[in-house]
Amino acid sequence: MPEFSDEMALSLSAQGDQQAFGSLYERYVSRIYSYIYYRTGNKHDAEDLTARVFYRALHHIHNYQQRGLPFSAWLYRIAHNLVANWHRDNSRRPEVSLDECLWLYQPGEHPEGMLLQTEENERLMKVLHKLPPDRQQLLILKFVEHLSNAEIGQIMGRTEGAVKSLYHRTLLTLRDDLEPPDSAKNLGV
Amino acid sequence: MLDWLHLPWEKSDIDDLDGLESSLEAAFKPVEPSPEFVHDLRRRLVNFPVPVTPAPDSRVPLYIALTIASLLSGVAVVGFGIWIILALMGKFQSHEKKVASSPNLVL
Repeated sequence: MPEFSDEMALSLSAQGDQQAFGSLYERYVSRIYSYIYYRTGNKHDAEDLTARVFYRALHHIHNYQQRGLPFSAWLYRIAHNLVANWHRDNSRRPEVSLDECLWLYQPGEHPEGMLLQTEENERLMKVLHKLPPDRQQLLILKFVEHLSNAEIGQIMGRTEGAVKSLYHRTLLTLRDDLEPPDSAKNLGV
Repeated sequence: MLDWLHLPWEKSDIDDLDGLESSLEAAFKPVEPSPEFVHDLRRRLVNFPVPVTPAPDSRVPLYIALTIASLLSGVAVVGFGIWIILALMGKFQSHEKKVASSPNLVL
């Protein structure tokens, strides 16, 4: 299968070439899966939603219009909407379950250090999942996908400046939520 | 970074956020899907019977037809209303003439 650019693969896919769509899928499946995994917190829902993202993309590929936005931006938007629907449908679930395997074990690492890191990560994830969906999306795109503010803005439909501002506010919120209630800062010193 | 430009409590805020960013970097590692899932989904997608959606017909003729129909309907309604008014006025005038020419009119 020759290597097509995204634009070429999209054009072929829109004409019904599903092999071309398959090449697009291979390029982005890991990123979409990773994003959804952090939004849902478990492997099974991540697989299910990832499949639904690409089925929806395949079904609507002929309607996709290249407006200067990367194909990944469209996929992320589909993923974001599906995750939002999933959260709405699972709103009875008070907390998102976190797979134990979320925290990858690094051989050679000190077990106690790993345990502390794991606990800190779990606490961070719990606070993360309490954030509004757009802020969760922003953090995952920044720290998992390592996208720039401009690229994130394209996905979220915001300006680069708006993303930067939202990011700063999100960090402040996270910091406040992560502070222990009996920290010295709260003792009026 | 020009840290010295910041006020002391601002500098501690920046340090806090820097530390938080480091924690986020450490916490967020890309998660790879299982190869079986990736291959299985690809196979299903490539073999998925996507219905061939015909290009949508242009809706311009429909809009033109609706516009013409609306105009004709409007004209018909207005014309009917005018006709009714004229008919009523004509009856009223003929009634007045009858009354004026009636020999039984008592003054």
